[in-house]
Amino acid sequence: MTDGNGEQPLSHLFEPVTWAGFDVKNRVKYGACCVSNYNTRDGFVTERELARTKVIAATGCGIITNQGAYPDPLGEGKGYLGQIALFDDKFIPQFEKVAGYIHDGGAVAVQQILHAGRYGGIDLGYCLQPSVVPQTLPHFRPPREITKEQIRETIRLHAEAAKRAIKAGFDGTELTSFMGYLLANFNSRFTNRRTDEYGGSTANRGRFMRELIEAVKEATGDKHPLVVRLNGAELMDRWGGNDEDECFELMQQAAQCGVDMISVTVGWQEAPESSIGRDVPPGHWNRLAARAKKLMPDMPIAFGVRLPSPIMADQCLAEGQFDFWEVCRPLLADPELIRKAAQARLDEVRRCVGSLNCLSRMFRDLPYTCTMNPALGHEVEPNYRLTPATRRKRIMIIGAGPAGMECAIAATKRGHHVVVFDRESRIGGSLLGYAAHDLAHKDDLMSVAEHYRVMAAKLGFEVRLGTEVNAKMMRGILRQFDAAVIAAGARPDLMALPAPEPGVSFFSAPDVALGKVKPGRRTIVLGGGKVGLTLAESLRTSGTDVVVVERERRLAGDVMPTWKWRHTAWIEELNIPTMTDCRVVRIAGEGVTVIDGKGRETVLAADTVIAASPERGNQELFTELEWSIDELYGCGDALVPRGLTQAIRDGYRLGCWL
Amino acid sequence: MQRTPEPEPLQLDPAECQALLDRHAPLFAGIKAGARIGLLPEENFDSTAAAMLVWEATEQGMVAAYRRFPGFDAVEVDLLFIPDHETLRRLHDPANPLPFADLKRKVRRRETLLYVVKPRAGLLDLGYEEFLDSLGLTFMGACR
Repeated sequence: MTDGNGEQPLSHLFEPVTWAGFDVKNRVKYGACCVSNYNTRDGFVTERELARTKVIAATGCGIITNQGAYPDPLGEGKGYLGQIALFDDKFIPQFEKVAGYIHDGGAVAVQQILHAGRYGGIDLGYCLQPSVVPQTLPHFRPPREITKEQIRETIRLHAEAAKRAIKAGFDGTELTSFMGYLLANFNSRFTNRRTDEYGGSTANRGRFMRELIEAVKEATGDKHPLVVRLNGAELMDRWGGNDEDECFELMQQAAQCGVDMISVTVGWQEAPESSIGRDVPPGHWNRLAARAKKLMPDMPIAFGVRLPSPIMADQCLAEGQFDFWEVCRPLLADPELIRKAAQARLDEVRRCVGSLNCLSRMFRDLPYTCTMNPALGHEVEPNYRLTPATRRKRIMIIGAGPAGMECAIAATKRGHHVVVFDRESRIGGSLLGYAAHDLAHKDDLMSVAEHYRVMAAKLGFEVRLGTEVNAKMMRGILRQFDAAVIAAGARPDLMALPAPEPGVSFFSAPDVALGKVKPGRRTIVLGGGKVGLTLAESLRTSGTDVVVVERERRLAGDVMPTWKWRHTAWIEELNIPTMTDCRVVRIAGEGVTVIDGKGRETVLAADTVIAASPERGNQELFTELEWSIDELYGCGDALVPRGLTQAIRDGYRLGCWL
Repeated sequence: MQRTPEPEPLQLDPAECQALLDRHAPLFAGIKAGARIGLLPEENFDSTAAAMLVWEATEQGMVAAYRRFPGFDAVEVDLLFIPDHETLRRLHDPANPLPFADLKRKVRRRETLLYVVKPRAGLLDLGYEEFLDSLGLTFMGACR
């Protein structure tokens, strides 16, 4: 077994093992990392969810954990609008289907029971916690202290839900304290300030967990393993939460209660540090799994926090840092990841780029989707599938950025003959410039362009780089193609700015980002959206004095919600002056004149001015080519400037449809 | 009848607190009358008679006052900052050109904790949207 480049064996990852009496075909556990939000408000599984589950079941993982179900009829444990429920036998038939799909895929089926505690009560006016401690994020319900009677009832409901999961055909169950759910609330000093036997010492705080484990074990029996997800680090210790030693003490308590696997997780939703974003280096948290394994050598340990690479996972398994690679988001981005790894095709993998589009949507109460996998969540819809083309067409695609390349890949897979044209010398479009200046983890975004290069070579479609498409060129190739797709991206809308006076070094952001021009030492970036901010941050890091001018009242208006805070923080940390609610009235040799919302005029001295936004689509190219091709289409930023997620989705959808 | 203990005085002059709010009145322009923001010094957090500084929005603008911190169960503020004394001192330093930028930075880094006492919908009704947005609170933590 190799990684795809014929270099590194992945023998540990694909080693069959026995776990809790079950034969497991490999050491990969699909983690219930995200509630999909695809289901009904009253907890029933939808056809959309079942179609998605079939894809998960086919990932090739040895163990598959189904997303968390809330266990109580009131919904105090419900943390997401579309979360599934398991508080009544009426839900069992749908869970039978899910367990059946997982077994059809050859995996051990585990059902997670999720009481969201501090983050629960989504349909109620309150949530339950060990003590009344308000949340430090603004989208949760006011807390109420759980009584002892409610504790007993909550434990009973968990046990009954677990029993139903087993009745539905699941092999085992899972409890989770990830992110700050109810179990974590009891375990943590941050939220557990009780003075009775459930609060105080680590032993007392762990009492709820021990009683929960014992109740679930008793309800489900010895033949059905129980997994518990516990923090190796809460990252809340600054504010009185558990330190790492306490976290591991709690793990030992769980082990002594007879759980069959501990899944080590990191961080709370309210923690001060990132744990899985792309600003965290892959492998950063592996030490926590290794510590758990060292402390409890006989306890199967699962781990996967910010560990997206099968090669790294294989290495960790070889070194005995953990026993199962627990993976979820990389499998959202590419459900074929495990299969590609097994078939030595890792170079074809679509990497999770850590954009956290999935979570951006979750926090808006929307179903989750994926930047890199446009079909995710649409598996039930036939028009998102790659079916053979009814008429094989010759298609020219103008633009080798994400939209164009996605369209090219989908269309080629359907049997069309595709040629991609791009005036630049590399595949990737404007993403290349953006990625090159990303302060987080450049390699993630760069991997998108590399993926397209690999897929073009593997699928065998031609990419003509350094080739500008215009009306003259189209006359020369008249009727050589049946359809053209304009995916040439967006550009700064220079008409929205005053014309620069002679002698001004005035550049467009894409030209600067791609290194075609070099700005001076005192630069003004016009536009505080993602392009302008990324460029400003990068220039500042390399020593340039930068000022960002934005016409809207707030910066980062077009940035994904999960990433806005990151830009705001960088802007402050790098000490980049910003002016919002400002209109540019003059661009001259001495600098830029702006007028703010109150009519005050300021002259900002500069030797370079960069236009980043507003952006506009490529209307001119549509007009130019309209009468030179049978079918003309557009996708991505060339239509409406938005971003990577939308470009990939547009390109894929058009490729499915052509 | 038992008397409520007097709050321990903060080290800040009330006039300085009011001057800060007056200097930065535009920052609170969108916040509606009745809204209240509490600042409880970290050092006093576990004290039973801790005093907190409260900024209350009135028709005439923001007004600073001291109140006793009655515990999370009974606290009548919408947001509760837990800054340390140094952060409070810098916040009220007239020579600090960007006092609220400092505070926001500390909240983003979780060096200053901020409890969200009112539900989001209530905060939006009171005009906190821009203020909260600038703190970048929504997407902090494990799932970043």
